[in-house]
Amino acid sequence: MVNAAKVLQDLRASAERKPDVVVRLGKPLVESGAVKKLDADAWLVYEQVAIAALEVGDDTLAHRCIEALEAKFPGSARVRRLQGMQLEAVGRLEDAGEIYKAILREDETNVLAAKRQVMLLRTMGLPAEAIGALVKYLDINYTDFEGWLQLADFYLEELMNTFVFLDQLLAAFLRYAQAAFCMEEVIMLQPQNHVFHLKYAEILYSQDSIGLALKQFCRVVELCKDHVRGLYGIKLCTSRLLKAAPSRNPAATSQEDLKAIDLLATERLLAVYGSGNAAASVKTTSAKWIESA
Amino acid sequence: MAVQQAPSYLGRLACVLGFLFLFHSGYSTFEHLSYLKAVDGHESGLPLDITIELIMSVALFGLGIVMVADDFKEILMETEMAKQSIESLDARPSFYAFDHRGRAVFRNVVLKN
Amino acid sequence: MGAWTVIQERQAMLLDPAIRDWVLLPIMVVMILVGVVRHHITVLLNGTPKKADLKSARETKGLQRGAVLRAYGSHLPEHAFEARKAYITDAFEKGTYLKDPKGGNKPKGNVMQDPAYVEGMMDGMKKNMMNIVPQTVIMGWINFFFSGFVLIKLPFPLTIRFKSMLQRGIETQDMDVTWVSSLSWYFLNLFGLQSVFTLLLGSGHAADAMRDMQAMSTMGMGAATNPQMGPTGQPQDMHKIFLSEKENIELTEHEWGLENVEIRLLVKYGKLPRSILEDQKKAKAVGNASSSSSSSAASSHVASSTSPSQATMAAAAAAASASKKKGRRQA
Repeated sequence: MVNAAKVLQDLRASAERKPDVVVRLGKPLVESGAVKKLDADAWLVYEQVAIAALEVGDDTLAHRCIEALEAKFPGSARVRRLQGMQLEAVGRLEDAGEIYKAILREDETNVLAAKRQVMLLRTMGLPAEAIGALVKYLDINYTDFEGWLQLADFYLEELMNTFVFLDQLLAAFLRYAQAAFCMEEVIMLQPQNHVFHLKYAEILYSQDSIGLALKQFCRVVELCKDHVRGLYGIKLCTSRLLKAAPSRNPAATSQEDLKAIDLLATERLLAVYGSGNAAASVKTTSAKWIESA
Repeated sequence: MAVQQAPSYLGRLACVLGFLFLFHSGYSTFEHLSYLKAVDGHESGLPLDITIELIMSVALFGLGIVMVADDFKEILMETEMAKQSIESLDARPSFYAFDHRGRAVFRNVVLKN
Repeated sequence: MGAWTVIQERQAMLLDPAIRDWVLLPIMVVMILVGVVRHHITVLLNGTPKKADLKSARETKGLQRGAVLRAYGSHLPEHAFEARKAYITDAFEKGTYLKDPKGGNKPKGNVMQDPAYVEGMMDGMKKNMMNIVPQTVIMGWINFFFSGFVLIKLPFPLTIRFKSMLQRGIETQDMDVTWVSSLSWYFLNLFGLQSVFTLLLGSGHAADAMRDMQAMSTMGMGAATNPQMGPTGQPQDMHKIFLSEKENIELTEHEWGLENVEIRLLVKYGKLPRSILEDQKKAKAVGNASSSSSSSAASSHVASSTSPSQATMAAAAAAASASKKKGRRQA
């Protein structure tokens, strides 16, 4: 029991989306009543398990958790948002919308309800309105990096959803730029987190600004030593840049620097792959592939 | 995330003993002083055994605390950040939508421990 | 040697144990109880926390945009930084984030009518009352009932200056300063019971003596709770704040942190010596100094070259000459 509570706490802290793990560990806790022994954490666990149960389709478990929370905190906006989520999950979208509107009528600044409204619009199949609502929300709450991340994802999804050719060209030009803008805001709000730099670097690469992407990938590896995805990014960029004609821009990376970085990335990738427990044949194959890239 | 150490019983025992010694030496000092007052004697400093007991209690406390305390965490932010998985990028807890296939996939599966 | 023995000779006085039973403990118990009651009354008086206003939140967050850009703009590439700089300076000037765009400067005469200001002042006064009234009452009670005798002996020695303060009501000349009256026991308790209150009431308790001290020194200010108020208690003109922030942003130069990230990465993994970074810094400083003071072509040539090998050799030569020039200019 102690271990389950610890794992749930870790998942709350790292914010990873693992509803199957949460339900697997949380269901026995809730059903046996052992969750009450956690005192203050019990309500957080109830909330966590409720959301995970909704994701996994276990509506009875979710209902049970939400009832427990309602009994303890009647009328709380946070509990009502959970009820709204419950309605969203089963498909009663208008009713969910009513709940969120009611919460916002009472307290304009309730961020939870505002965010749920955004996702409700998306679930209803209105991505453009969802983006509009999110932009309006971010205009008011500038410091919410989660919101900026979500907006970046919205733009990238838009990209994937355009099927007409001309629209695609426009989309590629515009959406990547918009997503890059959002990632820049996220980086400004959380400068030490290499994962956001990685996403920004990959967006830049997709936009074909390879020089800039290379610098960002270097930053990722600088922030997190031997980050494999970052090293691969470096290799991709350096191979493109080395094949292209040397740029006349004085601020661009010089040829010798490119070669040095390329060599470094290759070496680190070989070191990372060579140090594992894989069979020797796997190691040699991967080494050959990395060196030829 | 910091892994909880198994409770160090020896450490706790050392702390308890240290506290007992401290308490005992304090009480002995009090008794000693009241004895001196009653006998109207000179105060020549505390008797040696009380001092030794006090120093022993400090040593035991030090030992106990060191054993009971958690492991040190790294000082460089880098090592903390390295533990952050890329899954944290896509997880935005306030922005979960439920229109994914999770509900269908897991509906008839009993998630056992 | 003789002086030492005089000081160490403690005055041994035997106090009536009734003093301990009927003064020491009751004062402590009364203070604890009063603190708990005060905490609960403060909670009741404060009522529900004020509802946040959307527009005010937007205003404060808008201001933060400028601050964040200034603080972390070095992580962004130049075009991104410049675009944001242009937009934000424009927005601050036009007052897009202001709560009340047409408000302008409020005439000072109407200050009392501004409901937010009055409310803030009332809140502050309530807090002050709750802090000061119990203190005065208890001090009066102690002075009335428990004066004229020594209560406790402090375990640490003090200087003579404290005698008048701690032994008020007992006018003797020879008694040790360590014997003190009940009022000083009250003061000891005032500071010492903070941790007891934290244990009983949780960390956010309203009986915090530190806040008492602050409240006493800023009497009559409703400033703490209302974000719109400045230190003088007048409603701040947000427009002026935005304008000053805008000027700060306009002054910010963009220093791209990623300009030499490849070199930094190579140095980090040990492929290049750390001195390369120092040389680059020197070359850049030389380039900046010489471009601002518009000197010879040789120095500006150093500024434009970015590759490390060239920079090392040229920088070493130019740095020596430029530093001499700088020295002469400053002298």
